[in-house]
Amino acid sequence: MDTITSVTKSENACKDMLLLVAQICRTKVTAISFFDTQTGLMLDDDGLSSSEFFNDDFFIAYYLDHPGILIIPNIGHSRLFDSYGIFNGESSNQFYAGVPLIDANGMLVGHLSVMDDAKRPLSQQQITTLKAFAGQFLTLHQLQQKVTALEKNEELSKNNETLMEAIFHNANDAVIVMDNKGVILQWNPKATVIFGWSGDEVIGKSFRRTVIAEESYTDYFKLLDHYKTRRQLQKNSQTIEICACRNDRSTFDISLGFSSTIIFGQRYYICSINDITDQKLITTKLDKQKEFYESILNKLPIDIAVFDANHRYIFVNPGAIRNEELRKYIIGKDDYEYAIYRNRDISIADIRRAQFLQAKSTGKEIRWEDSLPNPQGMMITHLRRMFPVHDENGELSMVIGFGLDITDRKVLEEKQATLVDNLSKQNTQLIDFCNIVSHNLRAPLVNMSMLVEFIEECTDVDEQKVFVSKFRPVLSNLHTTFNELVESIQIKNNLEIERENVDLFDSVQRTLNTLQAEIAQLDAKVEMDFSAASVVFYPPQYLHSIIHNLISNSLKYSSPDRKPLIKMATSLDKGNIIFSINDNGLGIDLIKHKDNFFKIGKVFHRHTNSKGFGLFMTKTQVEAMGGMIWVESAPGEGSTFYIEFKNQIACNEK
Amino acid sequence: MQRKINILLIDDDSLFIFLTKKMIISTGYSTSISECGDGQQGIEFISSGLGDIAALPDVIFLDLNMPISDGWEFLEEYAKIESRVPKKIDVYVVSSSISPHDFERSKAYNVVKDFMIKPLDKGKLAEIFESIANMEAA
Repeated sequence: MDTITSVTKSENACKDMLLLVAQICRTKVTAISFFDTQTGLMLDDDGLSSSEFFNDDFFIAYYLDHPGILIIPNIGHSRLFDSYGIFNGESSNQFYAGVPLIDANGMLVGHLSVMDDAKRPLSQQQITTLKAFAGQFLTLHQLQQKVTALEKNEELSKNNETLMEAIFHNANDAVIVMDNKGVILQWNPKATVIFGWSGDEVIGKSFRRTVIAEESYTDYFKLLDHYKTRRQLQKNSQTIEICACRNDRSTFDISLGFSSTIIFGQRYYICSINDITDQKLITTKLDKQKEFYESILNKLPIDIAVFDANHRYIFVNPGAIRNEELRKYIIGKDDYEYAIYRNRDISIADIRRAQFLQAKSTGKEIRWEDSLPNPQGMMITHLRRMFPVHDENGELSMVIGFGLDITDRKVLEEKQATLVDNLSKQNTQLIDFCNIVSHNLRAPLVNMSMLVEFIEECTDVDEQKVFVSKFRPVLSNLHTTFNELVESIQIKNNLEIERENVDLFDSVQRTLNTLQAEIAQLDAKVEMDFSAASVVFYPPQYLHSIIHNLISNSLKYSSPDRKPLIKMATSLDKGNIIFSINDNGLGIDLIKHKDNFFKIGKVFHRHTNSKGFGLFMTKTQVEAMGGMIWVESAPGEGSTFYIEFKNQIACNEK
Repeated sequence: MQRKINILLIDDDSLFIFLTKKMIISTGYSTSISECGDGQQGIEFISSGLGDIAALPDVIFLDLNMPISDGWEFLEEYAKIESRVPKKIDVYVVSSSISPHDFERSKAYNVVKDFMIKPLDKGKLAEIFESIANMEAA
């Protein structure tokens, strides 16, 4: 229905009704006004006029308080207006009677009024008629309002249709509508841009054959199946990525938004399509880049952990945490949560936090080495670094932590150190051997070669005999020296040399037997106290050699002023046995000789049998088994030698 | 007639001393030979002769490897008393050591004229005695 005609029709009805009211009430002026639409009609001597200028404020105010008929016989005498504002003073009307129009909800909609220039009564019948007409006007007005609203809706939906049309035509996506058989019904301009086909070319044709690339038919059927099996679903939509083809049969990737709707029992499919070739390219590139960096980060033989400014994990590579589940768990958490989760010692988290805070507060890289046992109980050493990264505003954005497993290097370093230590020991021994060869072997050889020379040049037979007689002591000296040298060369840092339980008393007794002659000659006295430990776990020939050397030294360097007294004893010290041998002999000036006391070829006394081998050999034999030898002595008073035999617990646990 | 050349042999090897004496005599120079068994005895010998120039040696043949007090100790001790020695004494280190380290070390002492490896060479001895004799003459 047209708005203008409907308004005209209702206006005509209003006029007729006003005429009737005027006839019945016989008043000069009859008026209806509607407050909500601010419209009205007035009938007076000049005829009908539509009025938009009624000043109804007074009546609105009044009727809101008094929703009933109002009759003012003489406006001039009425006090009513004092409290509800000023009545239009220009009006010549003196009489007023009006009925408010109040709808079902109690809303004041308007009022029907009659007026006259002289005061006059209204009959009961006239009042009833006025009220009845007021009801009629209300009904008419409400109907009119409804019609207007309907007309507005119609206009709106018409506008909507235009809007939808505009959207369809100007959409950024290609929008294609098809029926339940897959036949294209609608095809927007963007679809033409994307696929190359114009709407006229494709409407009525199969959507699948027109748009979908053959290789993607299977995917497309799957999508359709989804809708066919769920007929009851009115609204559902899906977006898939699928390969499409253009009118030149070239293929490309699209995102296909697919939804179905049922209109008047008929199913329609609406497709919204985007060309995602570029997007796909960027995604692929990004994926490749991500893969590239991740494969580097994941394959580096380094632990990497990245923390945010609050020491929470942002990234951890498999080098740091091998288990994928744990690696995912730790993101967004800190070391404390992780320690609790893994049921680990929280002190590690304390240390890590302190290091993190140090890096954070100083803004500088920190480095350290730490050794922790791995799950298999092996000590693993890491060289760790933590360095803070700041953003352009100088705020700490993250802290990157590195850990490089240097266990192998560490082990190697230790091995190397041991090797160097051994080598330097061997080198010292080598120098010693060089000296001994030089002095103890070369010296007698020199003498012999000189002797030979003299013998050759000598013409006197007696003198020749003297020279020849000098050979024997040199040769025997050379022989002894050679044997001792060979013996000392045989002592190596060889821990595999057989160790046995050797009774100290037996060993000492054996030495005393071989030295019987010297002991008797010097009238030496020997005392032994092996109560603390009497058995030594040691290579027997080493032990015999050590004891023989020490006792024979004590006898050799006894004081001519007193009879030799040799005291031997043992004591226990943390699983080691300390053997001591004390004498009252010549003693040694230790201050003078402290550096080269046990060196080879070192002799401290004027004694025919001194060659300086004994102590060197003894020391070698003691140290080869990990022990120590030391001496306390004072010249003229005597000496005490101490020997430490290592790891002796087992043999003396009785 | 030439004055006797005073020679001091410091060595613990009695055979070597015996043989060296023979060699010195065989050079034909007029010599007076004294001997000491170690460095300490050597120092004592010189100290006791400080007041008697005629008793002090002109040349010392010093062994390095000796008991009690070796050649190095002798050189250390000698450096302490050198200023009181009223005579220039040439010291020759004579060692069976073929170690270059010992050679270098001995060069550090001013008093050491040369480093000789045993056995001694007769011609070399003659040269030494000749130079001492010439200095006397001059």
